[in-house]
Amino acid sequence: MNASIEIDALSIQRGSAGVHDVSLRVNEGEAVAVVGDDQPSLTLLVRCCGGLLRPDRGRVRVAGIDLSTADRRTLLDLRRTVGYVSIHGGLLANMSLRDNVELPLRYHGHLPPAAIAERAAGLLHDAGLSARADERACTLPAEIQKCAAYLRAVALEPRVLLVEDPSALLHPRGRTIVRDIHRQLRARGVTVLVTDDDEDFAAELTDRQLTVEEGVR
Amino acid sequence: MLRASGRWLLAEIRRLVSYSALTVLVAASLLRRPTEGHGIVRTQIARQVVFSAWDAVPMVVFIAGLLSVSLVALAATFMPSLEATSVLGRVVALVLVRELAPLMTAILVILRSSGAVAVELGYMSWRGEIEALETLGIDPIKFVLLPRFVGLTAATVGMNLLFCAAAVGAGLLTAQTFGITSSLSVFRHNLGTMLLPSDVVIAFVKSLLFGGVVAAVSCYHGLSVRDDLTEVPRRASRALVEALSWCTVIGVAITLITL
Repeated sequence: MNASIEIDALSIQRGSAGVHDVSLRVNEGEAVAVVGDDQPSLTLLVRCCGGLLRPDRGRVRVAGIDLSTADRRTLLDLRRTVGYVSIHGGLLANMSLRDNVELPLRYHGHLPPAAIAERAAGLLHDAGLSARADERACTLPAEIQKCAAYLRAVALEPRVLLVEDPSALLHPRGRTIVRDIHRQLRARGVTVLVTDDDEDFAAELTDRQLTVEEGVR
Repeated sequence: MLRASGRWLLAEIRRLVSYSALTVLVAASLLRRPTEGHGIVRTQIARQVVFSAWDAVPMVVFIAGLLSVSLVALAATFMPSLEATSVLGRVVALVLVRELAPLMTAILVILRSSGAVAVELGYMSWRGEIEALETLGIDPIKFVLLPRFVGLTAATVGMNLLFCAAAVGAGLLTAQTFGITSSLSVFRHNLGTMLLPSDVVIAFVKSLLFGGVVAAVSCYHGLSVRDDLTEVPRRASRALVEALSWCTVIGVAITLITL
């Protein structure tokens, strides 16, 4: 089976957080969680896979692209097929939930406006967020913002989804929404890599869990 | 003392290079894949123009009018009326159109928008919104910076034109009130002979550069915010002061070059 994510002897240090000599392979359609207490270090790992950080040493390949050498334009193009959800979501605060979910579709112009509106409305409806779709992101609880960030990341129907700490900021309702999203992603054969400190929740989202016990090595 | 001056100068040069690099990146984004995200980027540009220019129209008209009134009233008070009539057009052209209007409009844009843009980008940067855009394959230079550059520059140029028109209109009314000029045609004749095409070109170039400088400085300081939220007001304040300083320096430089 082809590898969607291939990490080879990755080392990166940022402040007190760091990962050293990590190798990992996530096959196409597989969902993998890297679980451990040192979430800042695990976040570095997933950020390297998203091309947001360059490793100090080692190599990261995602969807066949070597991120260690890819230029900015290649990374921007790659991210149309690689979704990413950060710990806080990073929704645009001055836009409504609906506009946030529609944003990548409207920017990349894959669909006509009516189809974009329909797709965003469908995603918000499935997540039970329709009632709050027109509220500005900055006025909403962090949990809803995070769920909407998930919806925004999957709006472009990515082949790979990378998630920093999915359990963070989520209460039971938010966790249910995220579980449902992951269930749909698995059904569609999307490759998923998550890092989390909540082993049980990570196990619900993924097929395989790798536990890091003492530092990320 | 010498070492401190050298350090200060090097820091200023480094910052100037950063502002220039940011401007080049934004200009290049216009040429690179021009159709990418064009609809949504156009909307963002329109919003910025409305905020920076359209909403400021009453304030610009008000300030331009008041300044013109005081300028013409001073001329009327301190110059014999015949002499005043003949030089008033040139005074308006030189002081208002070439010098005061571009700098005043730049100051108004800085006060209204520079701090706002720096704060907005600072919060976006701190909240991880800029990075989140990149994760969606959205080019932040095109989606975030380009609209602010275009909006602020268009606002500065447009408001400069409006400022001149309002100042000339108010100047005419004041001149008639003080009995310096008898009619619109006389005033227009004076202004027409005294306002040279080079004055208009210089004023346009100045306001264009001021707009670019305000945008570059505001965006640079906004994007410089990283993990510390308390940096946001500090950066906004620096953006205001630096934008004003650079506009003054550039304005004086252009005036001296074009004497």
